[in-house]
Amino acid sequence: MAESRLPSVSATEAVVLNLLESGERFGLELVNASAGRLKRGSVYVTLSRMEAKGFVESWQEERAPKAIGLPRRLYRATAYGLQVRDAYVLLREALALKPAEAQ
Amino acid sequence: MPGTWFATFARRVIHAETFEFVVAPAIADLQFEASGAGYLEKTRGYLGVWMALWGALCSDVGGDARVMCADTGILAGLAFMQASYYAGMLMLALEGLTITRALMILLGLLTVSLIVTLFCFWPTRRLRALAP
Repeated sequence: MAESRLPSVSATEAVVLNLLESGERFGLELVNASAGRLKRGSVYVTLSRMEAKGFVESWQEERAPKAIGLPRRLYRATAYGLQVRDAYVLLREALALKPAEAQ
Repeated sequence: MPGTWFATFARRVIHAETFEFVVAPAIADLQFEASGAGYLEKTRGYLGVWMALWGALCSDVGGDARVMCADTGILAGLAFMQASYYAGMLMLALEGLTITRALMILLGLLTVSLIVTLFCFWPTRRLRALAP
């Protein structure tokens, strides 16, 4: 029987999901809105990894036919990504409780 | 257009999928920002694109290495077959070889065969194909 692996959310991924919760954004917008928590050089690698995990989805922006340059990519959080993030928040809170408080 | 040469370069060194999802968005944001940006912003933009390329390269090499590890047996077998073939030919051509020299030739042939095998069978499959 195949062993199922639990999804994991890193601190950076949680920041991305928090920012994308309000709506779709470009990579650069995420960096600017993160107040220094996301770096320009690493945000695209993070987003690519999150897309592979199913936490976000992306597509290229619609452009005018004669537009020059590469099309920008828009990102949106998936319901699954937000669900996993919420579960991790609950888990962290539960683990932060002292044994006496947990009872 | 800033980043055009960079896109051409990046397409040659990383996988197409990695380019599309990691480097191309970084270049597109650089091009978008470049129109009204100053020298400092452009420099920061280029630095970000270089960092994205480095991350993409690391991701590709890591993925390829994982695929390579999964195929170690096949790659070793292919290298050994090549080395054996050429070693046999050399043994016939060169008479009176000492054992030490023959072993050194065999080792050299194995190394060359392994390099050729790795070059010919470098995986084009992606890390995502292996991901659970």
